[in-house]
Amino acid sequence: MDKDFAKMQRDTRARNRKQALRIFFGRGVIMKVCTGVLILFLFTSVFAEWIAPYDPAVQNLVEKLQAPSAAHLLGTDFLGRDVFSRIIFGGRVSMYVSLLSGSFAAVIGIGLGLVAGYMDSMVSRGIMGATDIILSIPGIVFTLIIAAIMGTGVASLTLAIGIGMVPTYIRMVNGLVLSLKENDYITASRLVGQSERKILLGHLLPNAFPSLIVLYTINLGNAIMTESSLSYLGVGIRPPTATWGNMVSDAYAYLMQAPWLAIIPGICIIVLIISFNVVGDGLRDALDPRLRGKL
Amino acid sequence: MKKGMALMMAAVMAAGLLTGCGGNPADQKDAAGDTAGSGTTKAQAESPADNPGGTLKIAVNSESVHTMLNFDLTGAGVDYYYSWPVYESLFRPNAQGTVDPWLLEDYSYDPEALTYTFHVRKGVTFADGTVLDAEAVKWNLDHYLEVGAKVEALLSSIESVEVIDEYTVQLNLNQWSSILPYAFSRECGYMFSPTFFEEHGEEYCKEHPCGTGPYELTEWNYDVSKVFTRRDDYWGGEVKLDSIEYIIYTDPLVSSAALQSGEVDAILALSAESADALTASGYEIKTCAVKSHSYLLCFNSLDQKGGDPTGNLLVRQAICHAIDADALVSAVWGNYGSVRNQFGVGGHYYSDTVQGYEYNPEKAKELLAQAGYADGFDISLKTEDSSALKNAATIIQSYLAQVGIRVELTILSGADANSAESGWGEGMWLHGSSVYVSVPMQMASMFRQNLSGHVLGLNNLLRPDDVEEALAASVMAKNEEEAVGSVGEANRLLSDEYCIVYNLAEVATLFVVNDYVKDSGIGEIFYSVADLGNAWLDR
Repeated sequence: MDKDFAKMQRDTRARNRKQALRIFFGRGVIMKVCTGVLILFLFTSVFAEWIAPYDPAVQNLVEKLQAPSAAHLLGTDFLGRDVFSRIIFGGRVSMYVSLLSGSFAAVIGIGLGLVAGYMDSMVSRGIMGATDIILSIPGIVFTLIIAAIMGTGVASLTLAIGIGMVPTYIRMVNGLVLSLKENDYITASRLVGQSERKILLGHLLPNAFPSLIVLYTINLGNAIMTESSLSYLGVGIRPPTATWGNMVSDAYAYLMQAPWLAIIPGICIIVLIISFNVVGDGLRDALDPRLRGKL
Repeated sequence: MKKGMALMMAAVMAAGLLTGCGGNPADQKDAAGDTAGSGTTKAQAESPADNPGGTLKIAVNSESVHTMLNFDLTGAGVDYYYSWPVYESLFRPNAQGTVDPWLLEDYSYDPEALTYTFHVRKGVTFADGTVLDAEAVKWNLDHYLEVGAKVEALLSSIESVEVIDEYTVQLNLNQWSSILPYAFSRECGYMFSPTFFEEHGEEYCKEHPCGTGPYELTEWNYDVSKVFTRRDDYWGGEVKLDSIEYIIYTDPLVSSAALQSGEVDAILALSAESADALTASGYEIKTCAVKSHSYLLCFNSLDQKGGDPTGNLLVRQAICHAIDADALVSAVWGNYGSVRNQFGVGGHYYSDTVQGYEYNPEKAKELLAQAGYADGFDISLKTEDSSALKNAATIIQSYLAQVGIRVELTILSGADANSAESGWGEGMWLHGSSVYVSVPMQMASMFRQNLSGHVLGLNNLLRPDDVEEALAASVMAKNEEEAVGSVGEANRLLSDEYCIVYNLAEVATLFVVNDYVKDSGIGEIFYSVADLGNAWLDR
């Protein structure tokens, strides 16, 4: 009997996975393209050393501001560095910062949001009060302050962006939990004596998951945008490390002579952010059968 | 009847249309002028008399650093640009890198008696109609000595100012100074109407300058524009233009577009990148006869106890040998900069005795090994957030990596950069300095001992006694030959002997002026002067 039940559960899970994939990829060509883009960027980021034809920091001052050619697929910048290689390595930094800061914010924010939503205590009021205060400060200003305090560099920038995104998770999870905890299955769980930890992690979190997936993917895109903005403002990562943001910023002065220097990293930023958002939407639809549609 | 009325109305409307299209002759001239500005061909005027008046529109990149009162100015480039229409000084820079009398007819000096005698030009009047005479000059100099920003750095040798006769003033010094004519060719020598100042008070004068120049400030919209209107009683003769308008464009791409569309007639202080883009569009970039900026790598040479590698002379010399200054200057400043192995600009104070450091990475590695850093070391390089300095610093970082020196680059802006200039902590500071024509004057305010206030490397730069002696000698030189020799010696010591700073380049301030703007003097001699009284538009 137990074996049959276990097999049935496995079959159900497999069927659900297949159905989710079918829904995800069945949402049209844009979804497939965006997924492909994300996989491509992830692949080039991981294998940047092997894919990039040149060291992104190596300068060749004689060959500065060269137009795209066979030797330099996307040309060279104002210091003679290969733009294609810098785009690849810049993508790595953007992906790294985005994934790490997004995950950091998700873990901290979801944890605090669950506590704030489920507990009815001074702690939860304190958490939400602090969240409201932080949310009242414009996001970029808050992150700029944190970045200025923590200094420049990939690690501090990641942390600064992550801290800046935590309140968005707290606010959303708190709202979801406040609504979900009124459901009968939560009342039943309490009545049968399940621990609060079990209720929070076993029932409330999984039910909040589809909405959180969307927030997570949107935040990944936001993190890339914030990293690019901070790099553009000169608060971000130090030279000569390439990031798409500082590539746009540095190339701005050469917009009339070599427009591709600013346009290419700009397009990469846009494409990656759109891809994260579209894939996030698709994941939500695939995981939450109540929400289905076609792009 | 109805048909007749309709015909009449049609005739009236047609006439109105024709009149409207025609406009008045003045409108036609303005419209044609604007078209000419955007590049359409038009019959060229032969002289200013054929086409007088008009407004010269000049794009600048920022608001005044200080007020428009001459006693407040401290030599910021943009303040000089705003001063062109209203102020004139006792002396003015010339194309040879020295100065000539301007509001003075001539002058004499006696190093033994410690005096300068100024003979004030006759017939000069201020914008309020009062006359510039010896009393007015004395009032200006006394007031500047009391409240001026540059007294300690440039005018501390002046004991008193004495009126000899109606147009003669004598300066009595407490020690000889050869730099006074140079100091009086900048804001220290601008003349302001004493009558106007006493009538209206200091606060009013901060926004209403009353100098001897060909224009008066008539409109000031903060962070937007300033309009200067011509003086009909200008002492220097007829002013050709009706007015000059300075318009602020903080974004260089926008100011370039404004020039190309004919919205402005000139842009001041272009970046090298904007200049390159405009050159590609067919504009001619103007660089003054005398360059105006010096770029140098400064070492934390005060720490000689081993805490900071740059406290070691061999390390400093190794760093200099590791950098290919020719390639760096060409990449960052293109045709607008040139390598200069000593501090200063122009040929007047250039010394052949300074050897400098040729690009030789092998020698750099040898010196590092001798200094005990065969495996290299980590070091900090800080600089200000400007595209030229950032690019230069990134190139230096790359060159030093080739000899094993790992540079952590920090780009600072605003107050951080300002404070780092005086004390950047450990490592190096890449500095861009505007240099006024008098190199001794500039060096004395940067490298002498016992300086205070906002001074380059106050807490970082070694200031040896022999450098102090050479710089003191240059300031107190009794003739130009002596001054040039002393500056050369100071530069040799700073560069070759102690390697306190590594001089990279002298760079021009860049201007672009549309070709229909004639005789403006913008970008001709030196960035602090123009000749807007003679400027006219050949549209």
